[in-house]
Amino acid sequence: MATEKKIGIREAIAATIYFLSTKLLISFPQHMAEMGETAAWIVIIISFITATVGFLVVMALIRRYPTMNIVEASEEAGGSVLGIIASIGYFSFFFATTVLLIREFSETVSTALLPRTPLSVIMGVFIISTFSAVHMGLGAIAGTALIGMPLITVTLILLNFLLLPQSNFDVIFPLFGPGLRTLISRGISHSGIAGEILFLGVIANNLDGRHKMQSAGLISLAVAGFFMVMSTLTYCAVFPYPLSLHITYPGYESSTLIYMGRFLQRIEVAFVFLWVISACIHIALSGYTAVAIVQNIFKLPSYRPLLPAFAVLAFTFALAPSDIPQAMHVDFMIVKTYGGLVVFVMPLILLLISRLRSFAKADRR
Amino acid sequence: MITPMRSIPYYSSHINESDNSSESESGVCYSPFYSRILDPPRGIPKLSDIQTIHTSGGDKPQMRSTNMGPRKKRKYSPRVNWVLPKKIKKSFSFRSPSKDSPPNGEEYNNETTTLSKNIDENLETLKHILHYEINSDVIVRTFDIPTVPKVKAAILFIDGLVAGDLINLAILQPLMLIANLDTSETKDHLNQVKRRLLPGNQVVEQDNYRAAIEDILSGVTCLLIEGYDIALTIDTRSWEHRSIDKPSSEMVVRGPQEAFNETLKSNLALIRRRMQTPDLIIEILKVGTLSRTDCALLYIEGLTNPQLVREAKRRITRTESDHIQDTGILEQFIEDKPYVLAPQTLSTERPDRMAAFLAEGYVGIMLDGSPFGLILPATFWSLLQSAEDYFLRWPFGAFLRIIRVLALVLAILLPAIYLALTNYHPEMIPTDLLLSITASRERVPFPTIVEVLIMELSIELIREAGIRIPGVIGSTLGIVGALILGQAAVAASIVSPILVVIVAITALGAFAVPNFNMAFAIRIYRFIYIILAAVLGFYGVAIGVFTQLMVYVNLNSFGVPYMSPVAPYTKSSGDALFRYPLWKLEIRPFFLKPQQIKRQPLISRRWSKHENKNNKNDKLKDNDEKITNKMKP
Repeated sequence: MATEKKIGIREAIAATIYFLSTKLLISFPQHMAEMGETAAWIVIIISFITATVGFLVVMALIRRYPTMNIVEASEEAGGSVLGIIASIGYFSFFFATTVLLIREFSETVSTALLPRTPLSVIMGVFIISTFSAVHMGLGAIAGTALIGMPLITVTLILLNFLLLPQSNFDVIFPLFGPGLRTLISRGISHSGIAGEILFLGVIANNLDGRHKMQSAGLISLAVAGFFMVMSTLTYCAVFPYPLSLHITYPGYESSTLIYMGRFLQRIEVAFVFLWVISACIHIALSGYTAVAIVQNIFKLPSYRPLLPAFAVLAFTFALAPSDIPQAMHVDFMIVKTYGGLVVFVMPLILLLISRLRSFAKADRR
Repeated sequence: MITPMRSIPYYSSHINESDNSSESESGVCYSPFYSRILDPPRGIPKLSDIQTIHTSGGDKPQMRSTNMGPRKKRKYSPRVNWVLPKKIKKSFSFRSPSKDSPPNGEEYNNETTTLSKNIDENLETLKHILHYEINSDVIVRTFDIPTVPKVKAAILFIDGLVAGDLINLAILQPLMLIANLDTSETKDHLNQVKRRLLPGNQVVEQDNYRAAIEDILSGVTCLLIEGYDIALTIDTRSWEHRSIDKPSSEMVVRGPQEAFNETLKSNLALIRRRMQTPDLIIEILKVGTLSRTDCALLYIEGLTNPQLVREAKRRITRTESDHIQDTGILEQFIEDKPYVLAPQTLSTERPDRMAAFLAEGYVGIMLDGSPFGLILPATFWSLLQSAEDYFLRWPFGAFLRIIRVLALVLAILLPAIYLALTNYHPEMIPTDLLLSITASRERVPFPTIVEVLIMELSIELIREAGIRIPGVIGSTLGIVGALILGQAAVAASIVSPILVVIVAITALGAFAVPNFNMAFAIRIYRFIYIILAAVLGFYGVAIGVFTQLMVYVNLNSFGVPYMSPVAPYTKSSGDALFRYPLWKLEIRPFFLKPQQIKRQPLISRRWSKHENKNNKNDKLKDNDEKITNKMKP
């Protein structure tokens, strides 16, 4: 990590926003509809608030070790055993995210763009391009995210705006869907949907202006949360509740509904074109985070020699789910549900241990 | 032990070329001639081991060996061996490079072979180095300066590089006809000649062969006088050259219409005329071991980042090649990543553009014989800018930039998008248009990819042929070729009319990109995208765009990120993708880390309402301080 180029706060914010919000383009809204029914967007708000608290916990842990990132801080706080267990947990979260994203985006591309191309070819191209990006380093990925920031912003806003004629906001009622208590419990348990915010903790040492990390995280959560709430709300308004549970590619299906007169219709391909770029940035970021965690665990001077092995592993694991519903199920029902425990609860435990240790040390003195 | 300087040629009688493998630290390359006399055989001190010292008796530098034992007696007498034997003279070649004699710059740079007091010896050596016997353009003119007693003198110059009239009138005539030197008071003829008889405006004393030879080869006349180990070099340079013309590749409607030509001197004058500040520094370096081309490094002292200047200088001086005659060649030696298609330096033929970039904190490079200057570092955005952007009012300049970005996207992606749409995503094309395209393609027997490649390759052929064919035919070929070929191809059902339109728009897009090198890169990128689109449709194009963005973001030009100031974000005036009004461009690009970040005060239009209000000056001052503080690194 020490050899990596430092990135600025703007790049970090852009990268984190991408990291948090690109999942909108796959089956995320549908799963939120499963969680919150007509109040899917409220689940996201609750999840993001929980994730914000979790992020503050991560920050509290990192702040105790001002020269360390989350992996090193975990090891320092929890000792070698607990620290490494935590780090493996972080790695598993990001690696699973990488693998599942590759699969889900490849399936989306296969459905929307290249129905006759073998899935393995699409996945292979994804992996080659994104792991090449990881090889170039964090600076390249974050810089691309910064350049692409207007792209995703305009795309999402345009998409939601163009879907307004098809939206019926009456269908988002009853406002609290299955009930406020259910919403809160489901929102908290699904805080893993914003678990990628831990990315900032992993790259803490690569940030030019580490002291601004907390504000960077909060801004990213706010912006990404806004995007996700806005898009999910539109989704719920376009596809009424029972229907919203059965849309496999919500982003793509939504965009097919856009009608701008007789001449401009079926412009979903243009959106998919932009989504592929967003997906590449997302996969590159999660792949980078995963290998950077391994680099830190084993204290390697560089992560780059690991990349070919990781690429092969990612390709293999991405092919493991039998179909796209299974991949989605693993992503949202396992990774995003239990991911919160790993990325937020684990740092909380380590923080408590660290505090107890320092209290004990102070008592001994 | 004092070693007289004339002992140096003696070493050449013991040349062992294979031993001469030391690499130049400074990176300056020198001719094998110089390197040969620096590596004597064992037992004889190397020239590099000889230090220049100043004796108390005079100001003439002398040399002393440092690696010889202090009491060891020298076995040779340099004076005896001064006249070179014929055998050695053959190996004493200035122009015959040997593969075993790599450049040995630093030693020679520090220590040089000094002239003799004997004019015959000096003439003999210079003639030998210049291959006087066989070189027809080397002129040696001996004469006497009419003093009592007469003093023998000679001039050497290269015919064609000098002004003959100037030599006659400003050197020979005063020295031969009106030289009434008063020898009674002083015997310092040299000083008298220099002060009273040479009306040339640039007269320099050279005490060594290297400097004298370099001067002679650059068109200076060298005057040798009997009894002096100093050569006077008088600037008599004059040769046929192209006059200052209009720019041919960076034309503007509004703005200066001057372009660089092949003469370094006049190019530098064009820049100096636009930058009348004493802080404009023009350093002359030499590049090319054989060509010894003058390379001017330009920057503003106190403004340009010294690290950038050092880096540019380091790369130029560490470039070892025999023949560098154009900035296009030098560029390839000093760029960061030669395998990336994107140009990493900005070439310009406009002195106003060069001056504007220098004022922003960039470094300029000019090469003698090259009508293009280089600007370092280059950023992606600077390659999309034109000089005219600033000469027009800001809305027009900003509009032109947006048009150019659109042109760039069209030039790179349009054929690929057409291919992806027709092959993979026809549902996206509106029905009427789709029917029209299908109808036009009905009689075309080829798949779209073949059609696209045929047309693109034809356009490339026309473009290349149009440049290579001389004169009027060349310029007409482009139009005639495009029209006739396109029309004929459509009539023969080889390509569809819609594709002709697509290719024409693409070509126009490429022409709208103001940088020639960038336009070249675009042409190659276009083919890559066509292949990606043919294989993977929109998905391939998207992957290509992502990869290209990654490569560009990862690229550096002289330590400056290529996509600055956008990624990584750095403070800058709004002068990258768009152009804000000139009065809003208050700071210089921060990515250059200039020593003076502020270009103009926060309120530069001070004649406006602020001027007439009371106490506004203080506010202006405060604002200036605020912007200065804000922009501190």
